[in-house]
Amino acid sequence: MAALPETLPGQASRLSDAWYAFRRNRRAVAGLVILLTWTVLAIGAPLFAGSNPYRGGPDALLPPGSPDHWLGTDNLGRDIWAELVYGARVSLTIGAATALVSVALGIAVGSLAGYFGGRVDGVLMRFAEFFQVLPRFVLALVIVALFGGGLWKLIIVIAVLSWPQTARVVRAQFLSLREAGFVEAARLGGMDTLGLITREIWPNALTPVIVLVSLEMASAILIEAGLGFFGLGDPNLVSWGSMLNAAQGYLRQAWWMAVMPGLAILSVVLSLNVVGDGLNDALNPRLREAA
Amino acid sequence: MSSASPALFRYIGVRILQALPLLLGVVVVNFLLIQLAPGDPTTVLIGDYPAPEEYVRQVRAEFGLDQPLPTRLVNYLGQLAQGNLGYSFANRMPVRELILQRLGATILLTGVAMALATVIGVLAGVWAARYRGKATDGVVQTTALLGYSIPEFFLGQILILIFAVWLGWLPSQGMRSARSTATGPAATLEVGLFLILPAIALSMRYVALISRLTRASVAEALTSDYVLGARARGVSERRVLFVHALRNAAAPIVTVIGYNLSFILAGSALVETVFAWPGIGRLLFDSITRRDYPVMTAILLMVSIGVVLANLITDLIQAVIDPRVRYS
Amino acid sequence: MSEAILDVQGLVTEIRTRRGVVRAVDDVSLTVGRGEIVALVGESGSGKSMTAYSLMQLFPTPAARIAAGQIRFEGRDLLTTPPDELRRIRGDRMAMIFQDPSSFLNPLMTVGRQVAEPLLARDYPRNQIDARVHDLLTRMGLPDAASLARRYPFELSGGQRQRALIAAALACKPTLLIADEPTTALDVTVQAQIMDLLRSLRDELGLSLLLITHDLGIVAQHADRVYVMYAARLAETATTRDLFHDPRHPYTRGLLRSTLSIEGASDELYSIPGVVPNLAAPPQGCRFHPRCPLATETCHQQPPLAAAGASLVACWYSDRVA
Ligand SMILES: Nc1ncnc2c1ncn2[C@@H]1O[C@H](COP(=O)(O)OP(=O)(O)O)[C@@H](O)[C@H]1O
Ligand SMILES: [Mg+2]
Repeated sequence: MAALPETLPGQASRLSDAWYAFRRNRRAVAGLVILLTWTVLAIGAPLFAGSNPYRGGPDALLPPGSPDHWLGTDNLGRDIWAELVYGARVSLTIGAATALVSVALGIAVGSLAGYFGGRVDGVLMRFAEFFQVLPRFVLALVIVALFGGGLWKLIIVIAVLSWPQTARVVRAQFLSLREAGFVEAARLGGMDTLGLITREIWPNALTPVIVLVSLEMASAILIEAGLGFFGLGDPNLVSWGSMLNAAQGYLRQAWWMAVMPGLAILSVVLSLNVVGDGLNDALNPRLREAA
Repeated sequence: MSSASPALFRYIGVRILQALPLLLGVVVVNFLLIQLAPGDPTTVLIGDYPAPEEYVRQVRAEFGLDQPLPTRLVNYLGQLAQGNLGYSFANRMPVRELILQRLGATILLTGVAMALATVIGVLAGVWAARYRGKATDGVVQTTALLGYSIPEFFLGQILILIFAVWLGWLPSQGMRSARSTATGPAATLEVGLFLILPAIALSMRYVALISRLTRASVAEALTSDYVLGARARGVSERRVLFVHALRNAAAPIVTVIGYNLSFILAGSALVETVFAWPGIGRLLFDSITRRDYPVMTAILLMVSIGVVLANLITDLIQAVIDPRVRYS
Repeated sequence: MSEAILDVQGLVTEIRTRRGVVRAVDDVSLTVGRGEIVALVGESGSGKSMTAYSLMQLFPTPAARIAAGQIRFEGRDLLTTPPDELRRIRGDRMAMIFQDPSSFLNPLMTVGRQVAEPLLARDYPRNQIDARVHDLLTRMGLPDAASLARRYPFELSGGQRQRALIAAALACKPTLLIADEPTTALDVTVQAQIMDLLRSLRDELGLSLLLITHDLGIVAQHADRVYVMYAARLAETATTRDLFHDPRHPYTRGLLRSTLSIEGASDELYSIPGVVPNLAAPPQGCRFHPRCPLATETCHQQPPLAAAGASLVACWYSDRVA
């Protein structure tokens, strides 16, 4: 006789518990507010920038607090604030898109490996191991240098080099859930593989992945900043990394050229990390109690 | 202390065998990049420089560029096996020599930075675990979060602004001053001064990582039965922390350094660029700006191989630290 | 009874939990004489381990603390002894071994180094430590001590680990050994060997032993006196002989009966009806009354520990149990 399905607490109520726990974490909430602020600035860039970040002016290297340029200007007389606001578009797009693509890839591979196990698992995990030893940043540098940059190319390259971590996490979840009572019951009830994976296992397996999204985003933004600093960002777009690249030559004359974009990157990455930590604590009740 | 058992040797053998396909894999990736890049692979092998016609022919022959892909791969592997990494026209020097020339500076920088990160990270982590939940813990944790989030190269720029530009205390560009004639201990001291800022910039992220890891492992150990057992034997608190609990943290710390070599080298590339430190990273930056492709791909190859080897060595060290690993 | 080296009065130990404060040890008084083997028995969760940890003033959780009572050991008041001196007493005068010898040994350190630790902590001459460790291990019945000392805990059997822990505990020749279920995690044959070892150590070294167990067979065989604990409190105490011949607490009687029915197979398997109370919300008065066949209204008051027959018993109806 089939065992009765184990009842798991509903996904919805677990998420609302987690949201409650997350809200009580002041640091994480502050991080979320900073991220939302940057998002609004990025979306409404033409509204908030006040000037065109691609057009220079006669007033080069003005310090912060200047009448028309409250964060100063760069070596070509471009307004730093406008550059920051437009640069947020690049950083956030790359961060979000890369995280989504790499996590989607990771979920796909991890689900297959964890669900089928055995040979499939062995091959896919060797594959993941291989991608994990590839030196992400240096490889991305060389690929962009050889094949050329551009926003979407960057996203694909970083994502393809980043999925194994998600795959490992998802695989581990699958291995523990594959034999669970409720999955077994659904299988005996005649559900097909696709249904089992998407409707039975995913809702219970993917909570840890939520944390990975924020961490992957942070790491993608750092990689983009590094590429930009090496002069390999999208040449048609102003980005925080390329601002830092320009700043390197003017460190002694115009500190603000480095400090402003650097602080912008720091604020976003720091926020993503505290949000990630907050999600982790909120989604892991066991840890929450131990603390 | 650990007995060199047959189990240990068997484990080492198995791990080496497992590393070989990865090694081959990263070499093939490098090969494919060279072959598939837009334009003629000859350009990638030579760089964007007017090379003598004769040299172009020699390269085409060595790498069999008019042959099918598998043959080319075999030729490529053959050239690598002979240590032929190509010639850099930008530097007028064989790439292998160029890399060897720059390797020392990178090893010095990353080695010092990782040593610094380990010492500071371990002390901070143990301290935070000891005073878990207290103000000290909060300060260490917050600093770690900052250190983990700040890009190395931006931290480098900040350090230059503060300590070189504003305070004028420390040098910030290069490894020695241009007019320096110092020799012997004086020269070592000079390099040491130049090393301070880049080493701090590069180490910060790993100070953060290691202190977080140490805190977690030590805190876990402090609630373990074996620490209770040690205390019941009258073992001092200091020994409990630095011998019993820290031993628990040793494996994760080795892992974080060993498994992150590719990120450490990436960080080093950025930091070397900021500080004009004459290492591999700076060479990579220069090769990118000058389209010196053979140098670029050779560095990628070296880094890839280095990462595979570092992972292997990490696993072997783990087996020495924790004898149970050998039997897994 | 000989002169008491351990004298505990009114010990109360509390654990702060999210559901409130749990009294894991509630008004426990006991003594251990020089060279005596004293058993502390009770079902799982009754507070035996917490009592032992309280004596060492070492707890597995920072949420536990001693709230009241007095602990006199070799004539000094341990609860007012400064931490530094306490540390010197632990392992030197008073030692402890545990239920699960595997988890109480550091997995990443060789056995020999852990046995040597109490000696290292006490300026034992460095060049003699190895010899002393080997001597200890040999005396604990571990042959080939030199090679064993270089091994890691996971390379030893359960019995070997417990012997190594006993060696470490006795390295500095303590006068009191607290043994918290020292044989529970071991095979039956090994259990007997370990108990024989502990007993011979008592005979040879004049060691006092506080033996914590839920195995009445072991108690009958080895203990001089017994304390019976139920739900954090003492139910009864007597000499082993008196307790087995003339139990005066209904709980003791139930406990004996359930053990005898297992061993002698006399009547059908007996177990005390009901379950051990949750210490976060213990029953009012006598904690055993919800499970007691003799319980009345009176039992909603806590009975004092009073003489009945040859025992001290905390029961209003101890005269009826006989
Ligand atoms: N770590 C802990 N956290 C909370 N309560 C505990 C903890 N350890 C023990 N307790 C409480 O103390 C009681 C006594 O535990 P213990 O002394 O281990 O019992 P015994 O050794 O007799 O089996 C338990 O019933 C439990 O309520
Ligand atoms: Mg116990």
